[in-house]
Amino acid sequence: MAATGSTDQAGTTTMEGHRPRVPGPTRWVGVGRGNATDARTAGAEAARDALLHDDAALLVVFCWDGYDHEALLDGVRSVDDDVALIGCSTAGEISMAGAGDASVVVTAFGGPGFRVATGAANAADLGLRDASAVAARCAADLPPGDHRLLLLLTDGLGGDMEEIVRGAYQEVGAALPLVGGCAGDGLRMEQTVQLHGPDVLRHSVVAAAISSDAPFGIGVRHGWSRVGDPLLVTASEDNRVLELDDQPALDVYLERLGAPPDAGHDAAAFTRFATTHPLGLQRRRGEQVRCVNEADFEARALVCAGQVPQGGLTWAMEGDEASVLEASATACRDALASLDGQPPLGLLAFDCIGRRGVLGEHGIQREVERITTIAEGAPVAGFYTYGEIARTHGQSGLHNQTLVVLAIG
Amino acid sequence: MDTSSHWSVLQLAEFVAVVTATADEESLLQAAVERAAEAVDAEVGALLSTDGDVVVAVGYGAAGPAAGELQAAAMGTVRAIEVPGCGTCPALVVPLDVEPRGALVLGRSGPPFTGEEHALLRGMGRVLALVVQLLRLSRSEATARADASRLLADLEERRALLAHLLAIQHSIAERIPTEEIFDAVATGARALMGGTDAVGVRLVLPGDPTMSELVALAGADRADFDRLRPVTVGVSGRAILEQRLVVAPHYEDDDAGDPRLAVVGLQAAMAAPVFQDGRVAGALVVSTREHDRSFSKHEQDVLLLFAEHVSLALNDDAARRAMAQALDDAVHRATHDQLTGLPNRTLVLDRLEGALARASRSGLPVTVFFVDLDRFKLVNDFLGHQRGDRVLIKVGARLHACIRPTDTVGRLSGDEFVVLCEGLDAVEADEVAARMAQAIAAPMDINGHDTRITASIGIARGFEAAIAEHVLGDADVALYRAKERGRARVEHFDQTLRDRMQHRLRTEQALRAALPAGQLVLHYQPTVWSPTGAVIGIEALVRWNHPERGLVYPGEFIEVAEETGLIVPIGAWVLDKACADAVRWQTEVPHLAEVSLAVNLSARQLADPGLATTVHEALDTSGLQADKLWLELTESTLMDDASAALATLDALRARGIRLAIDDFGTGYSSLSYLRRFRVDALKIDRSFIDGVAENTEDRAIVRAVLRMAEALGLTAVAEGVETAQQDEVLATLGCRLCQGFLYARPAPLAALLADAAERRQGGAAPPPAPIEVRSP
Repeated sequence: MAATGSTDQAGTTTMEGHRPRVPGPTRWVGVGRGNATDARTAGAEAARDALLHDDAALLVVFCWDGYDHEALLDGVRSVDDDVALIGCSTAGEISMAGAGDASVVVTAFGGPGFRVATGAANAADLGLRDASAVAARCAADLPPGDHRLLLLLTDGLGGDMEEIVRGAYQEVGAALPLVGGCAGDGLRMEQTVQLHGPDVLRHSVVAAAISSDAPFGIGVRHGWSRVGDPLLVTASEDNRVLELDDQPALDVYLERLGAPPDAGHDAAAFTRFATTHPLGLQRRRGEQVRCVNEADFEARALVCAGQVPQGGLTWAMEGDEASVLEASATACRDALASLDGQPPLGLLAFDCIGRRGVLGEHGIQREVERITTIAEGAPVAGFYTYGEIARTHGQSGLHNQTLVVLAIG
Repeated sequence: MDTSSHWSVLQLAEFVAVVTATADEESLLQAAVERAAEAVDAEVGALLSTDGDVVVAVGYGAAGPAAGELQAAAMGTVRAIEVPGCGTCPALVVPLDVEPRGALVLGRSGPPFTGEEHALLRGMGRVLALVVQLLRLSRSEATARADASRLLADLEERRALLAHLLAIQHSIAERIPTEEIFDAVATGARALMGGTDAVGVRLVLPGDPTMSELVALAGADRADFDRLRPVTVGVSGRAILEQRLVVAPHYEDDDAGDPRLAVVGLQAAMAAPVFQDGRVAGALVVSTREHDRSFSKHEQDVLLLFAEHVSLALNDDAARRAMAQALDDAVHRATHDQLTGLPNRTLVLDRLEGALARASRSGLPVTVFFVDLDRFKLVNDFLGHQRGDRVLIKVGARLHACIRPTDTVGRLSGDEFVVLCEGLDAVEADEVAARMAQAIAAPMDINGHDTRITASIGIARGFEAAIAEHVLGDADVALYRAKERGRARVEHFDQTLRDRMQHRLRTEQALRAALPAGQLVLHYQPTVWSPTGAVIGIEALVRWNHPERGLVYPGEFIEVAEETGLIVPIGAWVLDKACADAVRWQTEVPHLAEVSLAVNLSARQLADPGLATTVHEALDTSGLQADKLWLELTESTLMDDASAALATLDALRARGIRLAIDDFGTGYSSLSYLRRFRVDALKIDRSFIDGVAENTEDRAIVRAVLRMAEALGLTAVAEGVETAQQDEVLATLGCRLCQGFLYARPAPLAALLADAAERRQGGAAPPPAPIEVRSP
């Protein structure tokens, strides 16, 4: 299945373009997709299909980084300019029609049972941690309740992404789970975009605190396993690994994993190789996967998506299509298991770009088919990320090479 | 390398790295609490000062914690604290008995904190205290005198400390022998104390807690110190007894000092206790001959920190031993009967195999006694299962009393016992059997009930080259005879063995004649697309039309055919005949025109070098298209024999013939051979389909096989579908290719053709286009 359809439609009352919108009787979730090359048209298309009723509480936008984002927001807001909105650019968009690029996927949360507050902050000014805390401050505007969560979308190129989780956690504490992903730019590793209301932001964190009348479910799985002997991290600074087993980290990494020769000096070749060869860290509950984002060819160092502490052991990790697909299905089922047996209103998927590398273009369609099958007809939206966020227990919540699924009950 | 058990060591190493890299006290404390909480998956963490002020709190959000509750936890008056969103959860408290003092309090919604986690957090507490101290020292120095050299020295000291700690932790992680780790600790501590003192590790003797042993020493001659010493003597002894840091600045005058050491010039000493599983296990001790040597607060903290590392190494070693014990226990459980503690079937067979191997060397047979209690069911019914169990335990003990220590008594199941004895002649075997029968028959007092029970015994003797399971089976047959003949008897196997061998011989002779006599026939069973009933493939099944016994199924003769090699000509005939028949249905019945043929291959056939030729000839003679022929192999065939046959299989595949695995799920079900042999389809074994409608486990297995097949791009077929419920469940699982009585029974070709013609006349919906069953 290829992502060539013009739009997705969800719900039962879909009529191309001319649907009369009235308030929904209860909570609802709609997903729409626009593939038009013109950003405004694509945005309007996707929003029209997502907005099943006219009492939306939140729009979540995942879009191609190549769009004119001001125009895209204009398009979305031409359908409804009175609704809270967060969003980001991606390394690929996901909807029921499949996974693909150069599109926009809009998810609408609506109906009387959802309450939403949003926030945004610039990490270039405040630092990752404080920016995340400031964006998360919107959670204070929510009424107390049992079913609340904080949806976080953040620039994915700005250093130690664990600081994003720590900042938000410092603000909202253990009471709210954190879910979300790091924005992408189609693997160019140059600049990502965040969206908040009418604003197009960069180097920023955007957040939506959501309270609902029914539970949320969160599933987190990676499907990778260790390969070979462990390596001791003998020198590192935050997310930069300088030495492994007392040797320059880049050289050890390339040699141990049998990387192609051009990965040792060509940035694009390195990124292609590294997206499917993450590192694993030993944690109390099994290993945590860390993406290797870039190589510092001068310093012979690795730049990872999160902190790799000195003194720890790390493993090269590998996965294959079967294990990665199996993990997708399990993550979905785990997410659905928390919904007290009720079918989901919709699923949001934050899927690592590295998994896309392993699965290939054919495999990602199979993955999306699996997710939509397990969703039992509920709409599905998501994107390929530079880092996934899911904190449900403990304090850690930054994942790499992982699929995070949020089921909206 | 196994790393799961020293998870905590790695966590501490990372913690050390993070806190020593932080420059100001405020962010150091914040980072320390966060990392401590992250390491043990705690949702909340707080650092309290001695006054009870909350210095750092994480996980409480903007609202902050309830200070009173944290203070109560720090003082030990409550053991659980409120975690936002999770309710009241277990708390872990680590008192910081050096600067900055106070306590670290953690709470988590998961399982209660373990001893290992306590030890880890204590270690983190020590590191934190030490680093804070260094930080304050350098800051005060900097503000007071801006003494750059002191700052540099300080940084150098932090770097050295980190390097030593990492080396030790790495040693623990790499499972360096514990003694070497102690040496590293002693050497590291000595280096950080200025390099002039002696540093030793003393451990309490496991068998005698009043004595300690010197297990590591750096900076002095071992001859100067007693290897073994009562714990009532010396500074280290006092640290062990009082479980605290002991400092003796003037050794000669100190109560704790050992007078003999004072005589040889020891000036000062200090010792810190080390712990294992929460109990004091020894001490780390520093001593010096330098005059006017005083131990600074900083040095005392270094000693405490290194003592924590000795504790970690001890706990890690203990964890390793505990794991080995757990493994032993698991092996014992897997090989022994829970009730009686006797070896179970697995171990009995294992021992029998060993004994048979020895028998082939010694020439003496192994005697197997199959012992079964007579009417044991009545005991259970009248006395209840608990007393029944006591009877079984007593019988096991009595059997044991009848044999030599080198013999084996095992319990197979229920009231079936097996006794293995080596080197008995026939007369001795009878004597042992009689002794066992008598021992069991003696009255038994079961909870005040006088209970009597007898046993029947079957005896088989295994000679060289016998197969353990066969010998056991032989004894079982003899037991059957004993039961048949009126119970409480002993029977030997001999005659039965001969009977069975003769039977086998007769089967072989008859089978040799069957092929030329035209007694072998083929029946055909379709595989259908269950939603429409359309036939997708047809499997050929061989039957023996025996002149006396009627229609004989393969289960009764294929094994003999395999063993004798008759399977090769029979298999060739099956291929020829089936290919010809397939061409008939393809030409005579329009809607079977594209339907493929499946033929079973046995292990012996696969090993036959002429197989490829046989198959090619069958195709050439009949004119059947190669891609319409499926060869079905069982899992065990592939596992056992196919490596050698890989080239044959490749040659067949090259022509377009496809491979299916029969009875999938009954063998190893390994992905690797599916890949290696480039299989196209899996047939899910009927034993799983039998239960798929009722049994969730079977359904889970079927679902897993389907998912795996899908992931590998293989076609999956359900075998043995017999009921509509099974069909329905399979449909919901997404399995649409089915074979079984529900759709069609195996039938001769004529019946198949007639049935197909009838279906067409009956106006059944036209079948769909043939389904391409494998994506390229």
